[in-house]
Amino acid sequence: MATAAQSRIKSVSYAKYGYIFILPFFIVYFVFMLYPLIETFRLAFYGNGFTDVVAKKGIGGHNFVGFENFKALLFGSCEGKFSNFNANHSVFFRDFKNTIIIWIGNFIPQISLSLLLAVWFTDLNVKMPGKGFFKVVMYMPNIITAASVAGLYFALLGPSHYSVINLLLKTKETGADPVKWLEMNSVWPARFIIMFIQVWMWFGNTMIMLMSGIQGINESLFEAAEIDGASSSQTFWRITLPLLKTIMVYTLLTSMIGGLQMFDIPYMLNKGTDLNGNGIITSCETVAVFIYNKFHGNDTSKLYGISGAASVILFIITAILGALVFYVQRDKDAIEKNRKRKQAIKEAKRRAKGGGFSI
Amino acid sequence: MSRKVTYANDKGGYQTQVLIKSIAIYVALILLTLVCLLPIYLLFVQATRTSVESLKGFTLIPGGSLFKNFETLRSKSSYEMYRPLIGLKNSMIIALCCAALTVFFSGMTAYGLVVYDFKLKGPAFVFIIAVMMIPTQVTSLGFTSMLTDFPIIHKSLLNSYIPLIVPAIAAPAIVFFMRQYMLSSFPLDIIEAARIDGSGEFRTFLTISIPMMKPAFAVQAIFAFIQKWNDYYTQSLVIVGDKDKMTLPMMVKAVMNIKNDPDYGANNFAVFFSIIPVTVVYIILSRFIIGGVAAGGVKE
Amino acid sequence: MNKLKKSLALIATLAIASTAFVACGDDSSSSSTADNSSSTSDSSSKEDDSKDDSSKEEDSKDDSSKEDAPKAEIKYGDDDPTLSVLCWTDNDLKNMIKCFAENTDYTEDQVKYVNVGGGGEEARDQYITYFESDGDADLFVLEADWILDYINKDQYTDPLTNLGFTDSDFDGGYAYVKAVGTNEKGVIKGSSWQATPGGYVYRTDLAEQYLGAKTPEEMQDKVKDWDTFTESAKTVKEASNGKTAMADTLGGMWQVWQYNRKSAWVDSDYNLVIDDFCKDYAELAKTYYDEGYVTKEGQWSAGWNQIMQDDSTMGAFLCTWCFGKDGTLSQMEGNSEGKLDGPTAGKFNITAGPSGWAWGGSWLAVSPKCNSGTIAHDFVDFFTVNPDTMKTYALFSGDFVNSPAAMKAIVDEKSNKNDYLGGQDQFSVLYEAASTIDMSNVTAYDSVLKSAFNNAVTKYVNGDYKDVDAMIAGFKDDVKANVGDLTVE
Repeated sequence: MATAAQSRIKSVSYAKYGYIFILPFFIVYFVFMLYPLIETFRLAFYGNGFTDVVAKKGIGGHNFVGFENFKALLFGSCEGKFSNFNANHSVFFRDFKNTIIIWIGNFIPQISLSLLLAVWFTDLNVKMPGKGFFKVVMYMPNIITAASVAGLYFALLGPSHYSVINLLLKTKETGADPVKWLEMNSVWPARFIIMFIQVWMWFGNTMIMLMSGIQGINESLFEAAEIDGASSSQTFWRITLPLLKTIMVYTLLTSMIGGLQMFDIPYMLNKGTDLNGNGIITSCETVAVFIYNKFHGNDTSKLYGISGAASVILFIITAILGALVFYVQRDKDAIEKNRKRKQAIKEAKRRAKGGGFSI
Repeated sequence: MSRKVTYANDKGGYQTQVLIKSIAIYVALILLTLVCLLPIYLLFVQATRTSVESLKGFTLIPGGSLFKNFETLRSKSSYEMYRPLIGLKNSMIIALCCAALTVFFSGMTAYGLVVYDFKLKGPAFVFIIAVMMIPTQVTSLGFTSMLTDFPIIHKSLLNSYIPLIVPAIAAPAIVFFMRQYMLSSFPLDIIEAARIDGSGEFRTFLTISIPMMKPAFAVQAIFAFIQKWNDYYTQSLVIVGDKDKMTLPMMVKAVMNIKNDPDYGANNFAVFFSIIPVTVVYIILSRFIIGGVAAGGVKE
Repeated sequence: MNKLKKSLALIATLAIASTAFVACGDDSSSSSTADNSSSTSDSSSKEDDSKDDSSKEEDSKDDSSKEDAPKAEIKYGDDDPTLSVLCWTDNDLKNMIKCFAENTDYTEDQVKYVNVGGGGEEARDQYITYFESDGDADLFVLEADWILDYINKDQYTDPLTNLGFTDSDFDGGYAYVKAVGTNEKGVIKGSSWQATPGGYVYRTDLAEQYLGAKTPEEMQDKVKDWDTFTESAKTVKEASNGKTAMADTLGGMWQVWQYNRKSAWVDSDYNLVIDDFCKDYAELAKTYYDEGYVTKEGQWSAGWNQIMQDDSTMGAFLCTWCFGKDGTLSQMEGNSEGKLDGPTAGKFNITAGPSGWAWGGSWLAVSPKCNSGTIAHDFVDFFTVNPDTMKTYALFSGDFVNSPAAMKAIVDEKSNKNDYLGGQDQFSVLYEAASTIDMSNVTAYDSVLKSAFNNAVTKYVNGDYKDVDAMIAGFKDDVKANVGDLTVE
């Protein structure tokens, strides 16, 4: 625990180092990333498309349109020349629903599996030759680019008669319809596959982070628990989990952000399912895919405004949920810390008065 | 991690229970391993098959054309864009620099946020968390237009590695991770002890906290390296029309783009080849995670 | 960090999709053929030499003399003796540069290919970035799907008259090629070296077995229009016990249909035009899909190749750039590189099919940054204006060049034999088809509208919409959501 002298040192003379330590981050961030960021927010208030027609109508990418994009997305209540974009309202909400469904179906199994494995790998009782090998292997799916992963899974489970699953089922020979899990209008099979891929790709990553957290826990605590005869589950619930809390918050938050902004697999998995070799499985189109698609069109369909507005909405929702996660954990943590700090200051004052000094 | 504890009161029943548990876990792990390795194995198998064979779908038995595919890739005139050594070098420079900068500066930022008390500490942290939450899909437009005429210096940063490497210094998510990690397992007392010993702040950071943070650094270095290695998208925004600066993923993409007479065997080899360096780096760095270096030095 | 930034990182890594199938989308480029165009007696040797440019011909054969009297003035200086041609692939350019160097006074080093973007869709965005860098840009390549993005904007493209051409110089090419390269103000800004007519490629053995057609002419009679095509599909289905479909993919059928739409997708008042075409195509697609007249494979998928090898389909809709050496058709037959050892090697013939059509194509445009005027003029002239040099290039590369005169000469010589088509000359068939192509009603909205329509049709054939009207309604909503310009009734 901080002694008076230390607290004094900490809170007074070392503050400038805090600024120095965080300075490089902020300089680089402002130089390289602030402009793109501001640009995104600016776009949300400008129109869509870059043709003469939209420019003349006053709804093009160069026209300031106020909150029209938000109105179109959130309520679908734009009138007049902007009313075409109301059609995005239902799509946006559908995509939101998809995102949340897929995220839940991915997050819960992923965190459970990762946690279980992390505990196993750090469990004293489980004697396991080749532990190191397993740990390394679990992360391997994350090494391959998402594009390759999507390609692989599509070749395995795609709707073609020649995909591995359909070859195994001999759909071609028997004249049956191929399984169409990844057809454009597939709903639950496609979602399930995407959830599975997401878990598969990321559980190793999460596991490693959790393990690094567990390894940070002082060994002597585990040993003490062991000697006191605590069972594995007791050790887990009473020691590992509480001490893992800060890392868990990190995992929760990053996974939440990653989930809400899930893009790569939903976007790429179904490449090749429509007539032109493009197309998104509707039930798996996430908000991030929506944003990306609106952003990347040609001049007629570069919907920068809609895309920017959707980004801002997504950001606000993420921020609210993020704040919630923080609030839940920060609560006790901060209160505790504050309390200690106040106490320390009080004590310091008292000591200062008394002139006592102890280490 | 070696936590071998021997217990005097080990009884037979307890031992059996542990054994059963171990076997169950073992079986589960082997299954998981298969699921994790299969795709990489499939990529390997595809790289060993000829163009025609690989079009016939997957198989588990490797073909005999690994070397032939490599030859095709190297010698066929339409594959001129694929210069693996240059691509490897460029990708390595970018990914290594990024990984190093990311972990060092993120660690430093986190250290600043955890160890010191200062007025803007709260706002700074909130800012970092907030920017972490911004959807990335739409920032590319601003990024590109910024590069073509970079503010203040009014120079184009296209075809330069600066915009690929320097921004790695500001990695909000990794700062956040480091902060959380330090909060959970970094004893602040040690810093105070160092201060009392007369160690300067930077020296304390470099010589005491970095070694103690090794697991976190290693984990994030791996993640950053792999992410930057595979970051085709940003690279393709910055490197435009300069053959000598292309990275390996860009070359793979160029190979994939050959339409007239593609050799899918060679293409598959290119894909497989591009994951080898990442795998090697991962395996090397993963020693830090596996080995018992966790929180080295903190013993109470 | 990973989870967050990964999404950004992977957005465009699509093509790294490993695996067996490489999608090209429906964009196109020409094919380079070394052996299927084999040529007049004297140029066959030149062709073989094209790989090792050891025998570079010193004399400039028949072209440079034509260029010495440009009818208009070249508006660019010659500050840079090297011509920079921007593209996302050098599939065509490699051959073009070689051919150009062999047949003119220029050397290969004087024409530089600059890679911009990893694919057509990327180059579409990245040209703009590149133009803002200090990189050299003289000519650049545009694709049919998005050529209007550039030729309608004066900051990116100059009229070809600035290179010393007159509008009538381009009359010698196919009318549709010229039409596509002309912008909304009627200024010609793009010129192509190729025309991309397509036909119906079919299995000769299956045609004889199921339809009794022994020659391409007899086969053409069985597929001469869509009604007959459907009739034949029914016959084939019955005769083969449902094993063999008539058309390869819905994607292939769509390419043929969309080129034959009579009305434009958007009228002059910016109304979305929905007419019988939309309903007819949707109904036809649904019938074909349900009845098994078309396979359920996707174009550019691994399955697309397989169906051409295992009797799943009678044939496929392919175009000029599919017939090159080791090109699309060769792969579909399952040939190894440079050999004819696939299960259906050489078992195909080509006929015109139910309607003439074309697929994609690439155009050359000139950048306002051009600083190599003379060589840029000579390059454009060599490949897109002068029929003599264009014929040289056709024989050199096997591409179907944008000159009816040159193609007619080659067809008349009867010297072209394509091994993948069992020795048939595809040029003679496609030559007919090329003359019927009409792309005059292309609009800037086409790529958005076509892809939205296609999505709607895909859902319709899969049973997502109860009828065509519901499908059209869904299509309209999609259009509204993506385009602010149009009035959608």
